[in-house]
Amino acid sequence: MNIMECVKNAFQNVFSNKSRTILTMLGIIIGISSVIIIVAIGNGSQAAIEEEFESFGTGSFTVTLVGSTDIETRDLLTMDDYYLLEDVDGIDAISPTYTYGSAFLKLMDPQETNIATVTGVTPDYESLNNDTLLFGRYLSNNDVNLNTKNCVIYDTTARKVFGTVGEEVLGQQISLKSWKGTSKYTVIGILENTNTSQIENPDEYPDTIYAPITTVMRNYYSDTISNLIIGVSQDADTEEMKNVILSELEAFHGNEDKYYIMDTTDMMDSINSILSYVTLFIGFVAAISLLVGGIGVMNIMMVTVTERTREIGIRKAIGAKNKDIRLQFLVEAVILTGCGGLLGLAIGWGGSYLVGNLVGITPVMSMTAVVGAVGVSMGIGILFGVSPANKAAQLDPIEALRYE
Amino acid sequence: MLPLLQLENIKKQYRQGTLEVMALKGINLSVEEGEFVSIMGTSGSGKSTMMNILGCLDRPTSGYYRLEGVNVSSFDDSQLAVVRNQKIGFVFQSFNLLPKLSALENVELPMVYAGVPRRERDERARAALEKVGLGKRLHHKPNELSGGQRQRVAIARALVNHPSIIMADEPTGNLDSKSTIEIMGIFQQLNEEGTTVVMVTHEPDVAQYTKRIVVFQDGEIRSDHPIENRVIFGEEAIS
Repeated sequence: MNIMECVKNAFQNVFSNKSRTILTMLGIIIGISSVIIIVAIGNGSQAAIEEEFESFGTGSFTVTLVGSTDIETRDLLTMDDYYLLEDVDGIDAISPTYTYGSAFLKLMDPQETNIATVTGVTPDYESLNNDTLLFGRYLSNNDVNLNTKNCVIYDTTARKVFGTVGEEVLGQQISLKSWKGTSKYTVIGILENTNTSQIENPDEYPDTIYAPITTVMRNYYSDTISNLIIGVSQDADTEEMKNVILSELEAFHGNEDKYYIMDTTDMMDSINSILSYVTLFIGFVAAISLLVGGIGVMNIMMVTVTERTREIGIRKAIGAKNKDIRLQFLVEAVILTGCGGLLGLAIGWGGSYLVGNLVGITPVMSMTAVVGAVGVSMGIGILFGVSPANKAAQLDPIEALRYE
Repeated sequence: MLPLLQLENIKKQYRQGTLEVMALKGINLSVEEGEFVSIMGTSGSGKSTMMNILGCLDRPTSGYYRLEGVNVSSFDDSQLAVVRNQKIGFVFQSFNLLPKLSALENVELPMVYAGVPRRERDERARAALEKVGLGKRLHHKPNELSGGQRQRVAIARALVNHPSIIMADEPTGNLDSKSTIEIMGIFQQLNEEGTTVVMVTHEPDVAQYTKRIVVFQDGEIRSDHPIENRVIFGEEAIS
């Protein structure tokens, strides 16, 4: 018997009892749709975290002082450490940072309500922080060497303070008010803010203003820097570079185990792997519901075989071979689960946007999940259809014809 | 020339619980091409078992069954399925049509398993239904047809693969007397055209339409003789 004939036949049989078919499919539909939703939300949160990290700067090291009580003055990081590491082989970009702000600093925008941070940096910081310049220019070595009162700001800040983003903002002054009075900086560049949560809720986050490190340190009477941000060249061994940096610093300061290097790539990797384990685990739980659905399909197929015993007898009497009967019931089971899988896919697709909307995550559909869902559901049809189909194939034609 | 069917010392043993039942005790029987045989006997006489073996639905415990000279008694399930499909056409007491399929689709079914292409199937099924006088009810479902019409569909289905023999098991058992006569007329007509027919029945009136009567009793053949005063369709004595 030709396979197309068989599929056509099976469709007729499967859909001749609609309510039973839908109820049987329900298990598969729920299983597949929950797997799809979980995978889509999992991938979505992974993508969101990656984006967050990218706006923070990936592939760079952040050198900080370890948080312990026995820190001495000689251990503190200063501009000398920056000059020390600037020429080390394998270091592509380096910028010291000194951040002052939050609760102590007020951005003098028209409302005067926003808190801000001012971060002192060097020109390399633009690439280390993955910033994109929209207008004007970034801080230059000249700005650092001459302690200019220039600054670059994000487009979100520009909109807040000047009500516009564009060339017209360049050259205007921005005021920051602290306990020691108000300092004015001249805007020389506008950066694109890529942090989606800050774009969506600009009032809930402090505005960040970048100024030359030297200017900021002098302005707020600091001899030390907060961190050193370091970008190593692509072909450098990151672990080895960490050791080089640490030993340089330790030799320079004459201390041990006082510095810690945070590697954003490492952090992102470990968060991602935790997240994928969580997704995998929840996915596994959802997969159990698929298994239960499969057992439901097997049960109904067993009932169908019994109900259609006489039909099987008739088919055998007029020349159906055992394998024809087996194929017929197997195809029916696969159609049952395959259609369930497709419906589950559609519901899961819609459902993941619904759930994503509720929890604030944009779901990410992966082709693997889609193809996998349909494949798995058809596989379940074969797995749980084999034994009813064999039962049907092995019926004795005489007994089957006698069945009432 | 070899007989169409040749049975040689056919025995069939059943196990009913702990009891061994000898349903057929060594049957020897030949049916030539073009014959019209009725098999009679009380229930338990072994006539149904005989029919199942003749129809290749069952295998004998021992003995030889040659169909067109081929020993089919040792065939496996799928070989027997091919024999049933190609060489045998079944007509049952309870029609045994598939209720969800139309008359035409029911008649097409043996050709589906024979792998006949769709277009040819359609043509041959229509022709077979025309032959049994149902050319105008091709798309009716079995439950939209009368008993006599259903049995005609079953006969068309039995004919459609051009079998060597038609096996009819109490074909008129569920029919009123008018339909019975019509169905027997169709069998006679087919037999006239050369089709060999073997029919199980317990009604002597019906057996009178055939050419030869084989009577079974206790798993053996009690008598085997040609019909005298054969009834011909359309020439029945008005009673």
